[in-house]
Amino acid sequence: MGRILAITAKDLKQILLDRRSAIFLVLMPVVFTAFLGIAFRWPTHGDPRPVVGVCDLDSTGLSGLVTTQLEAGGLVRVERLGRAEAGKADDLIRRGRFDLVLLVPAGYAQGEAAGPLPEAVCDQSEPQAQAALRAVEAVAARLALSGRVGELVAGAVGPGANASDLAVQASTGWQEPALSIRREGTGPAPVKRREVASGFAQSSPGTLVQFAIFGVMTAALLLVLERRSRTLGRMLSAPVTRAQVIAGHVLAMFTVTFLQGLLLIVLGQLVFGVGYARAPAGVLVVLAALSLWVASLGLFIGVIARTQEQVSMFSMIAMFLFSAGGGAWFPLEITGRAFSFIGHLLPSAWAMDGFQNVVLRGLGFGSALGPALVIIGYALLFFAVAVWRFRAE
Amino acid sequence: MAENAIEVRELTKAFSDVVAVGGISFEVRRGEVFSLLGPNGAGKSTAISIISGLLRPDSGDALVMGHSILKESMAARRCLGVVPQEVALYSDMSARENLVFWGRMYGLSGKDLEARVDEMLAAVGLAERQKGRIGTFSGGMKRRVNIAAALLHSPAVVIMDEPTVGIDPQSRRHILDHVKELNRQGMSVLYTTHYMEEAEELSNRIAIMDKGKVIASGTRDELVRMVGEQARVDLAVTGEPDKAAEAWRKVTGVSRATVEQGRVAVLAADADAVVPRLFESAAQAGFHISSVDIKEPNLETVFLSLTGRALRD
Repeated sequence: MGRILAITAKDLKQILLDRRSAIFLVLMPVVFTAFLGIAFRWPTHGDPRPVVGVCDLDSTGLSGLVTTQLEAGGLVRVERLGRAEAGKADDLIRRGRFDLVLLVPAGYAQGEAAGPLPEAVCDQSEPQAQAALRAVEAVAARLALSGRVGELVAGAVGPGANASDLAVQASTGWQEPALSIRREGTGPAPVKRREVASGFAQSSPGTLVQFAIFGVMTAALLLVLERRSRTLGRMLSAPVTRAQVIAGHVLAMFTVTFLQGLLLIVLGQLVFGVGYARAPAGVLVVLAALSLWVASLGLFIGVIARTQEQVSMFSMIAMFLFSAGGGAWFPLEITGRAFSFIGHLLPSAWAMDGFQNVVLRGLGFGSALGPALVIIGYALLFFAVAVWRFRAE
Repeated sequence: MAENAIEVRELTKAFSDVVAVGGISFEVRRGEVFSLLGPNGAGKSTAISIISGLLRPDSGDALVMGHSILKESMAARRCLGVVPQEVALYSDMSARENLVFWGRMYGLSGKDLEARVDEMLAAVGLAERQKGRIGTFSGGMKRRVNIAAALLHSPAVVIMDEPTVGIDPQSRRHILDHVKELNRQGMSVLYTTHYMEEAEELSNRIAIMDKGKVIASGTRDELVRMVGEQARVDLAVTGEPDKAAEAWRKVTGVSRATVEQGRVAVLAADADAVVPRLFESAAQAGFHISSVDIKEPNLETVFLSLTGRALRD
């Protein structure tokens, strides 16, 4: 055991002595997590409702009700737009940023009769736009009615009464839903759609998996350099078995990957708000399995590569293949069934499943065990091939 | 207790259809320096790799302190310290870190390890540079650390595979003196080299290897006597050396004449009597001798006599 630990400690020391390690093992994963987390915030956030952009150019109490009542209705997801974006409504629709853009013009609160009407910009051929339009029409009609009520009350009360304030007061009566909806238990609950990761829930585990695979380059390089510098030969002429040499290197690779992953998980939880803490034991089990597989991959590359250039090439191929195919760059849920099936032939896809079962789907420890076992199976396969090649040398 | 430090029995190793080692046998006695002398490609390093457990022989066996390298590999390797031909150290680690690591590979730990590392750094004259990275060391300094790493566990037998190749004269002297000192301390040494002078200076006994075979072995004097105390005469000629060699083979007293690097090497039992005849023969053949260098019988002469080639060919 002493010899194994000595080899492990030596490898770790060499990795730490290399300044590039800090960049590739720590700095780049953190930067990529943040960058991709922001980039992955696509509009729907997994929210199936139509997206409505509201540009309030009136900025009065009554115009403000347009936004708040649309939000309160819950039929659409509302995003407030700045005044500068009023002229870009068509462009925002064309680019698919919104299903509908509602422009509330200046002077809207002057009253139904005198003031200009809100303008809805959308593509009516789109079902999402049609749904958004219905929600907007309902709110607009309600506020128009409130405005008319305000005018009538102000006329009845006489001078001193403000029609706009009265319209706002009239409208607040609509805040509570006029209809309550209850679903009868006539059958099984509809199957919930599989949640699609976005934002940091995708970028954090995705970057972890990607850079874990990328990290094998450093470890595999040590093996190749050891062979080329004849230190491997020297080691094997000492009273050290080949199994001890392999175990020492694998333990070092496992340690590096596990610590790197742990750092990214803690960072993901504390800085980016990813829900690893929902089932920490499950996350650690998946991380340990991932680290084991990555160590076996590093050993495999280190054994088959003859030069530093080959190590770089094989590591890059592995990173691209396992990251893209395994859902580390984008959720496999947004791809077709065939792609998702093929992706799950790769251990990286199971690692992503294991992490996202916890952070995205809120499933417990048990949900991580299945993926972890699959990954361990792949690790054993890679180990077997690498050890066979190493012994054959 | 084994009589011999190393006993090599009919070792054979081939790579594809190239026979690197073809059934060699020799023994290194306890407490002696034994040299394997031969040109590059003679099979010395392959033999060393087999004895140190890096290569498996196709047939034959070797015993290290009585332990078979095939059946008791670990026990054999514990008795050995191997100094590889190339510097086998981690260039991104310091001299001390390297020695600590290699000490652990040989089972040392704790205070014993630290003490041995200190001793070896002092022995190779690098105590003051112990924190320097190997990558920043000169070739000679690297070689010295390379040797120190093999001696940390005080092995009964040391194998040194051409430890002085490509280093400056000062470091070479340091290494040769160190080998002598190890031998004085009772360590058995198997030393490979293609430098005749090193083999002559260090060895109690020598085996000459060529093309995977041991072609002669014994003490330096025994080997020289094998070829009849012949002197070597190196001659430079104006004209074609091949024609000169051909002419001189017919001269009385010349046992062999070959061309090496543009000069003619002549072996003769009585150089003083033969040299005038060579001048006469040259004059008759119409070419001139521009320089003559007479060397007393040595291992170079032995190798030339046995193979028809120089050691450095």
